[in-house]
Amino acid sequence: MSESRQHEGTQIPLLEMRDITKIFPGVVALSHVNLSIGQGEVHLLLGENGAGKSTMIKTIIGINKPEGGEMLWLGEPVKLRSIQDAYDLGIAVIYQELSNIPCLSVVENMYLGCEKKKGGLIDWKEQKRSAKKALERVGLADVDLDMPMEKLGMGQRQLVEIARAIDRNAKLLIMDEPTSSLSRKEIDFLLDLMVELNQKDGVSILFITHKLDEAKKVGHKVTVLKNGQNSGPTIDVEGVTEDQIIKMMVGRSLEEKFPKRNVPIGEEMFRCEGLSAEKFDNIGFNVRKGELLGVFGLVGAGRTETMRAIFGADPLVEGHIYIEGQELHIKSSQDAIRKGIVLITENRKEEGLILIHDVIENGTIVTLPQFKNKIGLIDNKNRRQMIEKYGADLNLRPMQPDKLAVNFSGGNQQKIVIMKWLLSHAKVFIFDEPTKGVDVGAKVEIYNIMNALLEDGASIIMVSSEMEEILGMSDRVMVMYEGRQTGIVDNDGIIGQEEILTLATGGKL
Amino acid sequence: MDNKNNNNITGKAAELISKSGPLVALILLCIFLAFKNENFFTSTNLLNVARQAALNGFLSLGMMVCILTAGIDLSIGYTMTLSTIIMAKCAVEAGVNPVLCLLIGILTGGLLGLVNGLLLTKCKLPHPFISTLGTQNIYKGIGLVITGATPIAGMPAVVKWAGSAFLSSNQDSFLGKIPLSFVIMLIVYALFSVFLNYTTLGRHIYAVGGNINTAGLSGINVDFVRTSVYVISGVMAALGGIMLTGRTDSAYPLSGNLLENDAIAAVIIGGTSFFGGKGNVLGTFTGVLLIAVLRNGLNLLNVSSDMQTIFLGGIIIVAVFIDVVRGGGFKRVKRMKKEEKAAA
Repeated sequence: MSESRQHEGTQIPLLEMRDITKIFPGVVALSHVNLSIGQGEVHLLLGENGAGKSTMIKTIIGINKPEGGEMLWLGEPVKLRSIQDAYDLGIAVIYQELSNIPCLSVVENMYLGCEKKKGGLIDWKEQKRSAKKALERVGLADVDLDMPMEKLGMGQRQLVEIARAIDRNAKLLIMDEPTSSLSRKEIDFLLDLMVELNQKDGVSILFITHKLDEAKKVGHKVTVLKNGQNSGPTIDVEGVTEDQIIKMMVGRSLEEKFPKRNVPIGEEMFRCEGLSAEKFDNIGFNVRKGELLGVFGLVGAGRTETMRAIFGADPLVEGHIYIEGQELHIKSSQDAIRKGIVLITENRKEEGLILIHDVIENGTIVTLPQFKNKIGLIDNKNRRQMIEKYGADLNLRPMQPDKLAVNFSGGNQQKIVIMKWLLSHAKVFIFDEPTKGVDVGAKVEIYNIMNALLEDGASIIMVSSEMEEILGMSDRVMVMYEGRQTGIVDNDGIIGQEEILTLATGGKL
Repeated sequence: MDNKNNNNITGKAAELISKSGPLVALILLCIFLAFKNENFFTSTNLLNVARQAALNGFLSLGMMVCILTAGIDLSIGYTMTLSTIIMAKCAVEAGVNPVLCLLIGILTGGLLGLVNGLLLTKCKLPHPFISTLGTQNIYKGIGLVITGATPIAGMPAVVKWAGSAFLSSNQDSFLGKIPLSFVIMLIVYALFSVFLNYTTLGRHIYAVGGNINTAGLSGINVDFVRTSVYVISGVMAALGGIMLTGRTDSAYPLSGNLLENDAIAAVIIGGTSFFGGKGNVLGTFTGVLLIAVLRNGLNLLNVSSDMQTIFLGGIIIVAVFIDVVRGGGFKRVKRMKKEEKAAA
């Protein structure tokens, strides 16, 4: 590639983590991990969920105190006592879940904890002046500095955090899955911005992501973690294939990212007509038994809102919903569940699970009344058996019914959510971003589960922002743009990425 | 090797202590008081403690179910007072059948709780702290208005019996020393344990407190659950009121003053999470006993009631601190020890 991608020579690395070992009670989270980030380098840190990426980041920024190993900053050994020490060195972190305060203004968020002061009082004028400068760099020149953060979109909020890092002259920018909740356009902008910061300002970037295509676009070097250890040495991104990286991440090659299914598509299971509410207008589609309908669109297209309305979680202004030919009047989620329509929400942690409760409680929350014995009391033994059976079917790991949901990895948390609906014998499964934040290996498992559901005669509506997933899994694809339905196409290989993107941006075929 | 083993044992002991923290505190407190004052460990005194614990025992159960849903019922004290006043009015002034009076009292408690629940779920007040703070004052005021701020004496026999009778009328026998109110409380606690662990509504209470969004999207009628806990709380307050008025033979219009404090304290000491979703009946029971023993013991030691308040405040903070330590502090200590060793 270009010259700027070459970083050879005898330069001292910006940051070197040598032989890092981090032990939590009962688990060795990191074992003798090495990570060396050169000056002006975009370094990829990859690995499955639970591989130790987050622990590594927390160790770099001083939240975790490692049991072994040392940290060198420009060749000098340093010992961080707190996250403040990391800031002082010039390390900035853009977290996966945004860490700003929604009700405070943009400028307040930018200087939270590092306010510019004059005579002991906050110097608002100076803050606004330099905030403006930094925001211009990230393409937010027009943003009103006094506007509360919550009025900005997800992508913009993230850019504000990057502006904050620029304003602090960060030398190392750590980005922990920054693209997981952004639209395609926002992602492209962010990746361009990363390249610009790297090339123009010489900022080093440590980029953690699940999306290999993005990673390959911007990265120079890649370090892969697996089970808390280095999975092989750090290598140049140039010349390495996605398959090779996946093999390093999961220790085996993924034969098929999207497992094939051979399910005959039956008669119509679900149909809706003229659905309208505040965020969407005149949506109508049907799904047949054994069929998977993909729903594609950019963030803000109204996909999630439509699905929530079908599920009865939000009110519907107009429209008709039919299941197996019979019209339903869905007033609440309870009505939808009773008729066999279920929604597996995008936000597992906030809406799918009760994190402080165990697998049994989470798995049977929908179907609790089914477990009543003769005198009306809940039969806990029966509940446990059922969870063990379904847990084994779904390959839940670890298979511990008493373990709290919070202690499972993303993919396995998703399995717990699916489990609760499996128990309810649902007919129409609406999956909203089913593999968001799920690692490569677990993704395939989720797809296999979806295929098994279809084989059993269920119907699936799958909302996804990942084009690959839409093309890999759908029988048909519905595309939405700004609350409108811009087309339903067969996913037969004739219609491809280009056409779907055209529809998703409001164009016509 | 030896050292490691040793560490393991202390670790396990620490874990055990932290898990049953309130229980250990209760036992230690009893041992301390038994040595300090000869009158403490007498059956008369202990049974007196038991009798006095009954009131807070009922209120704490009601408070607990509210806190389990991440709510709170500040009106619990005056819900109790108002229901006893209505009951007393019916019995003394209207001459209603005593058993019917009892039912009217319980019903009143339930209705007052229902108001709290509906304010939360139908009027969409943002937090039960606000709605129950409001009703606390309203219930108090209503009680004062209808009684003209004077106590009503002469409760029906069945109420007196529930509040002050013993298991046997023979005062010298063992059963004759056990207060009926305490036994009723034990039975209600046992029923609650079954209710919370083995019924749909019981488990739904935990689910709503654990994550209200998830609960709603799982098809749980969240509003029904949230309303129910305040009705339960009201009924428990009325039962507590029956025990209190039965013991004192009068309905006093300011009897509910600050009772919610002891109830919240017992629930929190018992390990129920203030953020909802976690907690159990046994913990609350221990919390109730701990507070009762503490008050009794400090009385025996001639500690002024002003000083007692300081002790109780300390206990609340220590109990929650133990909870914090349980969640990570021990790990911190372990790590520090390890670092020390590595340095040496």
